[in-house]
Amino acid sequence: MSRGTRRVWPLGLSAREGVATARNGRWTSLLLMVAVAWTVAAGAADALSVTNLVEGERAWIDAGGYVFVVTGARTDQQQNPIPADVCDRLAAIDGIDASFALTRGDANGSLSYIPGGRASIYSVSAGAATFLGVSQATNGIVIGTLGFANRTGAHDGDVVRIMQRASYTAPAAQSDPLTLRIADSTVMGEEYDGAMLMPARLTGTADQCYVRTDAAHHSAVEAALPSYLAYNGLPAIPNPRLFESDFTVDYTHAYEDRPLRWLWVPCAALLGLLWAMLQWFRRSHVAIYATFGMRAPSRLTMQASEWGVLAGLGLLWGWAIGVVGAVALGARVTQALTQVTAHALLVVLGASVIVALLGLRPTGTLLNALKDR
Amino acid sequence: MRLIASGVTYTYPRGDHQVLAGVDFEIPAGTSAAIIGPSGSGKTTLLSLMGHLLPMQAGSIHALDGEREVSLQEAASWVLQTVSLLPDRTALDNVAVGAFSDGASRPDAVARSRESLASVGLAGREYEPARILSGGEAQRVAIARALASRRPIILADEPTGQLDAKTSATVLEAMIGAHGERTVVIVTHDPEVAERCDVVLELRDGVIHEKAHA
Repeated sequence: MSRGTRRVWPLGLSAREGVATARNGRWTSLLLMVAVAWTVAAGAADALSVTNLVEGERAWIDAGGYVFVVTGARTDQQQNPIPADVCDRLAAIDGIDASFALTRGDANGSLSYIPGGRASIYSVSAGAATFLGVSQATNGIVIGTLGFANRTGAHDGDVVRIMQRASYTAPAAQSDPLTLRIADSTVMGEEYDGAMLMPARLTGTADQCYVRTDAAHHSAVEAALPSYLAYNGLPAIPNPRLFESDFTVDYTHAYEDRPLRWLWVPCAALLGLLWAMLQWFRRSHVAIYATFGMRAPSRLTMQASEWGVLAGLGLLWGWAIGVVGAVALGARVTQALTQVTAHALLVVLGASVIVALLGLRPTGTLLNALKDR
Repeated sequence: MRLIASGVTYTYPRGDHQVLAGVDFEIPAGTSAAIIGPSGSGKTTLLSLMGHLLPMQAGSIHALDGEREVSLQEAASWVLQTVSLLPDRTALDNVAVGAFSDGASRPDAVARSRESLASVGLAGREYEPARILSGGEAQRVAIARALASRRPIILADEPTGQLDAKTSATVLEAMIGAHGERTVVIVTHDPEVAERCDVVLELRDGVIHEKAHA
């Protein structure tokens, strides 16, 4: 027989062999699919943790997280002010959501139709409305805190006149009609609950500047505020409205620091280990193909095809379980979709790298591999 | 395809026992050769060296197509004493591996595989999973796989060890019956198998002691 030999394992044929192995693998294929599905579905735990973080952060923000109360520097036992107009304009800077200046004083007042119900009145710059989430009105507004509303029975949208006094002993002056806006002042601190905030044109100085930022800009804004709000060359002092001790979690780093962020690593390693064990038990199968001329690229293609089929089906299965499970256990749909999807892709990609490396490794002595069954 | 061995020496890595001590032989193209000898005489080792399943330590084994040297690793198909099949695949799929290795298209591979299975007495068993086959049937599937590859050389280690006399005859006929088409080397303890071969090489004390032509 003088014909030459053609040793052909084209990649398409190798891929078909891999798919056929996956299809005929019975318990082995089922085991792998189940393993992929459950390691992928484990992403539900991360989705739940992220939902808890988001809700916790929302509570943190509502309570004043990411808010700085900036005051002037203290010199010679004296508190310096901050420039009010500069404070009000800070909201235009990237990373600062809202800001307003506040001036304390002895001013107090009451609604004209409830003469006895006096409340402290603080002057605030125009940015207070945005900061506290209340809308403007054509006739001007006065902001009543929730405590004030509860005490007086006043409602958001009431048109009121304020009997305002510069001090407790000063004569009262009645304001023009103003629209009352009710706002939750928790973000400013308990001391303001029950007070009224009177938007005014603060062009000079103020006692405090409230600045709200977000997690991404927290550090940068904190670093910039002293110079932004410097008075007479003295840098201002930014004080976080809430300290970490007020909440048990530091939400500025909580997302990056959550332990389940790296859950995909052990999951991928587990799948890689399972695949390695399977290949060890199947080393005689690899040797059969090798004795019939299959080389490393074709072997890798064959194994990757089998893995691709099983991992793909397992991923879909596990993704569905993970998303549904996460939502059923209380995760938000957005978090369930994003976290489970990200976890699933990382798990399968990580495991695929291990599969590829195992596919490329030398097979050892064929004789031994063929005998060790 | 002609096989020529010259000064083949082999010592197992663990130990100092020299199992082959300068083996020389020549097997003409298109003939069948039996390698016989007592247990431990190095028959399987010699066969493994021929197929590059073990690394050559000293000496050489060449396959010549006319005057052109051909890689033995690529020209030979195997039937091993320890039957290795893909257990979850059908008998036909297992045999087709041999055909695919020769570059056959899928329809051609299926046709060849059916033909090879029939030649070893397994017609009608094509779609049975390999895992449910008996030892003898698995042995015949492995032989059919080697036949389906249509490589010019078959290296077989005790290919009829698990077969009864009648089946053994059928299988031998399939392997060496097509006289002149391929070179077949069979390691065997069975005198009847050796008798059917064109050349008998007796391996004793690490060398070919006797070269008998049947």
